[in-house]
Amino acid sequence: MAKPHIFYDNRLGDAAVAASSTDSGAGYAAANVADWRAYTFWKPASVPATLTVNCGSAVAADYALIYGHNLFTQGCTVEVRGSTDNFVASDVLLATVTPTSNLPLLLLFNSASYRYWRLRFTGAGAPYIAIASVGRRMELPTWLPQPFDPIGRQVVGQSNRNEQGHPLGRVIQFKSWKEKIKLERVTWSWVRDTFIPAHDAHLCSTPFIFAWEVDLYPTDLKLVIAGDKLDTPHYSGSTCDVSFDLEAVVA
Amino acid sequence: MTARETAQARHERVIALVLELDIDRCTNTYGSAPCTAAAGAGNECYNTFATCQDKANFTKGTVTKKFCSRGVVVPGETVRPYVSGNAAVTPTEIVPSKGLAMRSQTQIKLLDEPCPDHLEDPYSATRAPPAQGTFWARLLARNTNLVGRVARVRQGYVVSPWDWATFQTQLFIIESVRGPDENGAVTLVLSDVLKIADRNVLPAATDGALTADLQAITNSGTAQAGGASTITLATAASAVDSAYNTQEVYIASGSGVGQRRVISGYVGATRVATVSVAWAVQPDNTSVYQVSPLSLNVGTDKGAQYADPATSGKPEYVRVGDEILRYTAKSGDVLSWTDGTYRAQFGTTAADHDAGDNVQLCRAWLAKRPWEVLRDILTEAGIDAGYLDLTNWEAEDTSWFNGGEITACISEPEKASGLFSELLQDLNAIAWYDPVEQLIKMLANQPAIGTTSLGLDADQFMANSVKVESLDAERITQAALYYNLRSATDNSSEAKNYLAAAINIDLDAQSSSEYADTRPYTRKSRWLGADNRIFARQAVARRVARLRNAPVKIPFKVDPRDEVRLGELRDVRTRNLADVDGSPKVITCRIVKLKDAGTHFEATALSAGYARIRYGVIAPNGYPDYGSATDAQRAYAFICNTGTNLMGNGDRGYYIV
Repeated sequence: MAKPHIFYDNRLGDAAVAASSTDSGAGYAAANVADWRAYTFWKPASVPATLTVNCGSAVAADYALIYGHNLFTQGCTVEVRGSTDNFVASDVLLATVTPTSNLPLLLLFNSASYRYWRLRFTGAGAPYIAIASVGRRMELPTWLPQPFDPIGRQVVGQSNRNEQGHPLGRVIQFKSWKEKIKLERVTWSWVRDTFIPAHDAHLCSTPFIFAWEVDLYPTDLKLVIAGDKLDTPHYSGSTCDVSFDLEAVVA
Repeated sequence: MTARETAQARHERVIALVLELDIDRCTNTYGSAPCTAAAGAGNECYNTFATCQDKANFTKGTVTKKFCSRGVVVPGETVRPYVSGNAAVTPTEIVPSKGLAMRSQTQIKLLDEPCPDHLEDPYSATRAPPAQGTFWARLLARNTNLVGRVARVRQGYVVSPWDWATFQTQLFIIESVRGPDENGAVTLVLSDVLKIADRNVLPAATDGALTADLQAITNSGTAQAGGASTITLATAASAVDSAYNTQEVYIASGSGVGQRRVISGYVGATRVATVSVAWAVQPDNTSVYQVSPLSLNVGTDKGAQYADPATSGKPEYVRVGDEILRYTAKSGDVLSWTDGTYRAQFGTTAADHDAGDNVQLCRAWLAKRPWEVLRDILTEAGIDAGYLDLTNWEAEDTSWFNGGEITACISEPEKASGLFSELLQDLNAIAWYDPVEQLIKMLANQPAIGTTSLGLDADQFMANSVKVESLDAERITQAALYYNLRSATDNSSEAKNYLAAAINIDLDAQSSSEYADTRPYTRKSRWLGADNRIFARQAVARRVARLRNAPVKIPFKVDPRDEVRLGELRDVRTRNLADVDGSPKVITCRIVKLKDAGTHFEATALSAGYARIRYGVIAPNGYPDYGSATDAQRAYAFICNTGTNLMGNGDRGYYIV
């Protein structure tokens, strides 16, 4: 069992990402992995392939995730590596996994600090990747109370019947997941020192990954956008509730 | 089944709309040959014409930008989910009475966002400051010529793995770009290819004007004498030397009658004209002659507006006043013709024209098949021939337009779509743009012969979507067609200007036992001439046969799995249209309107048969007698019994229409 996590901090966004190679097809720039857009992709020309970033100084990370990919289809293995000298003498493997599906991929590892971070892909074929992130996870301080619903969805579409009443089919435009996240009685210090900086820097304007249970359902990662409203009603003492809306499109 | 049909057959289908825009993009690399721009790193263009720094070497290619509806992710492809809601579609509607279908229009709203520029700016890596603004603000600033470019609307189904084969692609032209609105969103207005014909005229307007008087006859009279290569004109002829050089002298009667020669020299004092080719029969003092000009000048630098018959591949004509002249050569600003017979074309009369009179280019067809004329109108209006379904046009022409070829002249600029529509109506034909096949289709508006159509009934109709509307206003009891316009410059809307008419009257329909009214339909055709007599008679008979009973219009909706196609014939069976015993009646209809609403198809069917008439192409050689023929064979026409007009077993006989 794990408390919910938010993944937004990204070393690959700290500086320009250098790819070992990029497919010559249109629109496969390496920068696409760090734009938090599920519809832009990086694709290497071949594997093994790497994405490397120079953060300028040592910066910590304790997770890596990949969202929107075909690593399983391409038979790839992913490695997360850190280095102090751009992988000349220093090259530390921090985590590795061979995906068993094309679902979102999350790798958690002990926090480490490096100036150079790298994702390395080996396998049979060159994969495509929409979002890649290596950074520090943000664990929410409380469990999510009722009526939080991690699965419920709203289908936007139409069911058709013929003149004789027989169903002809259901046509779906998309399915959306919308939930209000409510963190009850969290400390003002966490809100002011951890959550608000993250909210102002990223969460209020840019998509991020929300994971409601990384231990039991590590692939249940939702690429979400936050609603316009953030509420922090105060309790007497030094706690408050934090509530905000999240919305995602469900595949 | 195709991948699309398989996807449609599923009970649950996730739909997707993808919009593709083909945007101009220079294929050069900045600063590399042939590009000579040299503003240096950080100051490059954006490989678009609007930002080009070496326009002389701009090499136009295209780049395709893709956008999709919300919730859709195309694996491994940059397809921006900017499409807001559903496309607002005004679909094509085939209106038989108008010939040319109503042009479709599709509006798609596309959302905006601030986004990195590396996918749009080929030189983003060298520019110092990061790009400002949002996707659309930047794209519109860099691409100022989106109108007229190609857009594709692809509608299909999301399956795993992703399969573009489930998508149907409709091709349109970008008509306009509206916005950005207050939220940065833009709305693209897409139109079908036929819209191009709405914008252009045929023939092109020309503003050349006569630099000198142009007379029908410069001089005429009775010759004083003739020689082997000379003729002495009447004493009233000009006393100025060379006055008639390059003009034609024609012997209208007397010795040498019928001969035409070009005057190569003229002595005013003696009135002796020397001709360039010796006479076959010398004129003498019995010869009545006419001298007339063989060229005109349209004014300095105006000649370029006029087609050159040496290169245009077709006869060329101009209109001056109410006269149409054919010219056979162009040299600079001078249009010339071979001899005097090239004056007064298309029923017009040779006349005197004054200096300054406008010389308008004409568009004429001489003995061309109707499908060729239709083709020429659209291609000369700027529509690429690749959009025309010419193979089927020609086949349709062979089947239905066999009553002669077309000889006609359009002597002043008119909207091309209007001309196209007018000829279609004269031919009893319909045309529309099929965005799926990406072709302009043309059919005679006649029932199918010798084929069967797919059915469409309560199993397919969505609940509460079918209604039946009788179009009584379109019913007629008689049809008249005026044709063979006396002169191509006469007013074509006045019946008195036509030399022939064909009329068909259904007396039964007009009788007191039936409709007890008279519903005349009158049409005047400047396209059909004396050679089209048989076709004119067929046209009125077929029109009465088709419209003697009110057509029936049936709007309906179907699920995507029961997709129909625009223009196709379907045998429609609905409880709302019953036979005399109350059972649903089957009527053959053409799908005249179709809209893909994503969740379903909205369509309109229009009855497409001949009323009360049994018709068919004459049965092929080798068919058995009617009594032994199968139902399929009986779709063809057999000879009925003399006198009774019935078949041997009592079935109704066939009509020739």
